[in-house]
Amino acid sequence: MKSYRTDAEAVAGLVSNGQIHRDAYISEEIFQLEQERVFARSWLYVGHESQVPEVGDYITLDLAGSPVIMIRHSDGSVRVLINRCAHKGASIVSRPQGNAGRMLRCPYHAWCYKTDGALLAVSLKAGYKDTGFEASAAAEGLSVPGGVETYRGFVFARLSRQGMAFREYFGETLGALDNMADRSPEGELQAAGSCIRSVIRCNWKMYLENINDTVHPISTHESAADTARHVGEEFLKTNPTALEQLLPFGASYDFYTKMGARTLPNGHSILGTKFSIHTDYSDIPGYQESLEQAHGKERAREILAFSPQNVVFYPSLATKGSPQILRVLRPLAANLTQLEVWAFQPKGAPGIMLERGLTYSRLVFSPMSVVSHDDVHLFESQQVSLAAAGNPWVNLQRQFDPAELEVGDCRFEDGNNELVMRNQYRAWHALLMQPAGAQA
Amino acid sequence: MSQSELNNRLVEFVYHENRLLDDRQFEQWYDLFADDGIYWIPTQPGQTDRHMQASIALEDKMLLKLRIARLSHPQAHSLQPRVSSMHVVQRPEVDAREAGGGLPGLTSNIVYLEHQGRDQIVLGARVRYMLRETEGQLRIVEKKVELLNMDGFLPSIQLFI
Repeated sequence: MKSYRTDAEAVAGLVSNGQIHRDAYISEEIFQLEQERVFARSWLYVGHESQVPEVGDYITLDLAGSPVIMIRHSDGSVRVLINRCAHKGASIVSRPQGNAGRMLRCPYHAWCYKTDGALLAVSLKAGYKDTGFEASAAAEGLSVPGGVETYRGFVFARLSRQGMAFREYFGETLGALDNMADRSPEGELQAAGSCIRSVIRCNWKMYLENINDTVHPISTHESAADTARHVGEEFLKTNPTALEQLLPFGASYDFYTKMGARTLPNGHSILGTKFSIHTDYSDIPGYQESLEQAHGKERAREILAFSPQNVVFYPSLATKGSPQILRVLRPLAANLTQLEVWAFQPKGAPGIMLERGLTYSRLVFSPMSVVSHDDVHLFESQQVSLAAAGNPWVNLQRQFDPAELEVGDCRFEDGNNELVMRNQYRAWHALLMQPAGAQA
Repeated sequence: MSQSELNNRLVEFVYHENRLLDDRQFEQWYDLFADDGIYWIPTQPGQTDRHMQASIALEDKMLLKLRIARLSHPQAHSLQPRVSSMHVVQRPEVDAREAGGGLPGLTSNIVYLEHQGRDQIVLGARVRYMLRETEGQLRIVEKKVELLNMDGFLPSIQLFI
């Protein structure tokens, strides 16, 4: 059996002319290499600063195999710390969220840390005199990721010390986060009190590809769109929000041909630069006026005109500016992916905006969503059937043009062009081809 | 009607409601809901806010009807092969303090099994009912399903818990 870790040629052969070899999705060895070479060196979404408003507030999560704490430090900044005591490795905190006060104390031997991870105190301190402790790794306190950045309230981390700087990595994709934050007259978002969580027995890349797949809804979601249309006729006025969110799942192939798309370096993309299924949501009385007052008429118009289907911040995050939703992917294994869906309230805007985001999250992304059921069914079937005898390739060649290989930042009309997916694999492959160094 | 007769009637209603789901009598089950009835699965223990907190499901009669109509749609891919459910229902407790709609509230612990092909999921939940009597019939004002792992990562749940 070939080993991808030691065989660069085998890794090189995983992506070929718009085709992806099945091992990219089903091999556990590739998954391990991805963790080291792709996830550790990419900027991953951690959380939103509104989840930790007060000093000492924290949340815990798993970031590509590393348990981390996102905490509000005493200087007001948001820090990300590895949840591993410098002494013997116990978890410092075990709750999903809480408040640590001004210091973190390990429950095992009571070592204490400041909220930026610096070592504050060890028990039986005298016992460390003249032991060389000051020069030890433990004396450095809690480990921190190689990089942490907060952008418009969104907190990202890069686990490895190697890798690109934050702004270089995301480039103009960050404009989509500006757009989301500026949908608030105050320029700030508030995360909902909780999210919707699901676990899918598929590779994370299938989910991320599908976020840019405009060709699937008409066949995959036929049952949801059909029944929404029928039931909608009977209940015309009962639940207009749900109907205006579900009915566009019946949009035709043609709808997506002129929506506009943009692929950016490092796997990021904007699908629906001109319009999307979210464009025609009904106006909220007084909202546009409040945005004009806060940001000026021109900027307000610009903010509301940008309503893409999905923006991908490769490889962990996808956003919908309207209705203010994030999807966060946390891969656990080659065949297992966790998903979190967060809705946001733009501060100072009508409360109906959060309600719309929560409704969309539930109708389209919840474990009980009749839309998501058909997606998940198909992803899980892919995961099983890709291992089948015969053809080992996934095909992403729709509208392939060799000229696209020369352009890092591509703008085009047709959302059905699978370049929005090929671009993800080019970034993935480039990282996977570089073994992690000793400094990882 | 004496208190114990009323209590028995309420308890029998809950058994009947669960049986309709397992027997796939979804239209009849739908009719058990009051016009303003809600089927609700929150994400947080103790959650009381339906609209400004995330929920796994929050369905009025329109959304319930949509879900039921899809169950018989020929292109509902995720329902092939057929999905079936079993509700193992603890005898409901009648709690007058949780009265809503003029009747006592009911609470029952359930074990919910959902089966498809080679796979089966098992979920535990505390289910709370708020009922109302309309023209001599008991109707559901709210069925709230508090999953034991409501804040965890859940697989697809395709039928009604």
